[in-house]
Amino acid sequence: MYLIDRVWRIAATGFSFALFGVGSLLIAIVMTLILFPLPISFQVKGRWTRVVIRRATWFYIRIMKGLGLLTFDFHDLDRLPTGGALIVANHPSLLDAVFLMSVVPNCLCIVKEAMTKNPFTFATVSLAGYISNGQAGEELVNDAASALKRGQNLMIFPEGTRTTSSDQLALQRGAANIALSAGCSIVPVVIECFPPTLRKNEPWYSVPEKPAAFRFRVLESIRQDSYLSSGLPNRKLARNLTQTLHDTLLLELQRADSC
Amino acid sequence: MSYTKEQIFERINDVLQDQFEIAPEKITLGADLRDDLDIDSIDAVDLMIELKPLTKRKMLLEDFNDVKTIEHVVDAVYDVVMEEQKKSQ
Repeated sequence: MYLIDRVWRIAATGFSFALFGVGSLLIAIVMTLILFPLPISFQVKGRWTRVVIRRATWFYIRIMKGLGLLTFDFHDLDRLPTGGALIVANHPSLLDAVFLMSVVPNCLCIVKEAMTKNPFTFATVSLAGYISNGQAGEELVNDAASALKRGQNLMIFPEGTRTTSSDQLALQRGAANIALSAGCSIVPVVIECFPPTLRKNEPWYSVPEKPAAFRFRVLESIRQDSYLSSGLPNRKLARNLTQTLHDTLLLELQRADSC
Repeated sequence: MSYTKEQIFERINDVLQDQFEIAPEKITLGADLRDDLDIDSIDAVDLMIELKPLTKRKMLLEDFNDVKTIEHVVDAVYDVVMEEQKKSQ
């Protein structure tokens, strides 16, 4: 019985990966055909594309749930901002961004440079206005900060890559630098996934022993005036804020472990 | 106005302590920027801006090719200082 279940989930995972690629391509084709001829700005096209992506990912995670691959629950979604805030989260799994995209309105993300070149994803990524990580740090921070100032939300995983260890978080300072540059509020999201699945360097077909249970908890937002107006040089502020983010996320993760 | 390598190191030392909160005992010529001092690319840009009073012109990314340690930064800044000095003569 276990074997059948496992084989089923491997096949269903493969199907889900294929669906993701085909879905992205489909969104790109449809949005290009509909949007391209319209006399509206690139910004508005981007916003429409993000609305479509939000709906599509909403369905996508429910399809994965329907296939028996995972379960999920979201907590305190009403804390999510309508725009102009930085969403920071830990990054246990490949699916984190997909889950967040399905619930955060008007949300940009920073994508791997490879996704801007992948034939299935590049068009959607570019239509949606996602920011590539293939540029110099300073430009990336500027691009991200100006998107936040224009009123878009931006999600970022400050670890810079998927989490490799369960009891520590190594945050890079890019997220803090973006927040400082934009002067925006920060909404931390704690992601738990048990048993772990689709971690870094884990092939897609190595499915966990049982379907992964995802839990997303939106924490109270960190207001900009709590970290901005202290008169310290920016480098120190970036270090302090990174430490605050680290402590906030880790505390919640440990609290989850103990209960 | 020219600077010796010692003066450039002093300036870098000041910036790293005051702006970056790096403990003074960590700041040596051989210290690796990324591994020992936890300086990321955004920090490096800020460091270049802070060193502008020495170099007169904005340091370019190519001035920092292969820069790994503080000694490399000192050398890179020194090269730019000398270059600018030659130009002004």
